[in-house]
Amino acid sequence: MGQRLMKEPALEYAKSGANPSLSKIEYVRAILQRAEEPISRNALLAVLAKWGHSTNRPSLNAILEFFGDNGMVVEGSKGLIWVPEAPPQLLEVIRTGYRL
Amino acid sequence: MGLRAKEIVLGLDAQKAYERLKENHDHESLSIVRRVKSLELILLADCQYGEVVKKGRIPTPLRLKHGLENLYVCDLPSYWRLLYTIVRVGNKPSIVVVEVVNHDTYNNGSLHTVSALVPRGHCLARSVTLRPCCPSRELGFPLAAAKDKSFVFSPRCRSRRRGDV
Repeated sequence: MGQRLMKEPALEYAKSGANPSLSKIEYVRAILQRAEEPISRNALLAVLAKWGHSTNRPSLNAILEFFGDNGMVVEGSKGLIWVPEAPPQLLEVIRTGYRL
Repeated sequence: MGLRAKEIVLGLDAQKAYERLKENHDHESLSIVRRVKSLELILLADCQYGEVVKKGRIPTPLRLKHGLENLYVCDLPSYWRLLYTIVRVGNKPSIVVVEVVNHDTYNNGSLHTVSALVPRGHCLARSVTLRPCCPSRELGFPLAAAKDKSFVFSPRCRSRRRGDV
């Protein structure tokens, strides 16, 4: 074991009281992907509760922060949406297109 | 927390329309160009500034052409509209402006015409079921596209009148 592995790292997203399980992360992802329109955090918590997988707000925030830092979720004035991977039709446009 | 879009890119059609508007020097075009420029900062701050088009209401031709999963509409001067989507490349969310269109095009023109946007012979052309499907009532679907036998219309449409297609 090298020197760098001697000490555990500080966790970026998980905190005490906000340490969601992988299943919670997948449920949140499913809700965001299935949503017809932007969804609020309250609505997310409500759907999770309806599915019988309630979670607390800090855990939800940790999940959203994780998704957000990976570019998978954006938040605007209307709520949260899942950001899909750019389709091949738009990939070329994004690489070479005119930027405002 | 990175919950905002990082850049705004103009799609090919939008870029053409934008450049055409920039070349014109009439008052209307200038105000549209000015508004598009001002939208840049607004959209970077709030990527959901535009009006949301629900997933099921995204025009099929646009969805097929650009592979859209979300669509937003911003109003521009003189009833023009700016249509944009949010997609991700790697871990960078970007706003892609797919169309800048005038009122007629947006309301009943080529945005809803399959034949105008999807190349002929496209593999999806024969299998797609258009919804909303009524050429006479919904979206002002042009009769020429409706007569095209390569497109299948949903049999569930009740408002379709005899002789429309």
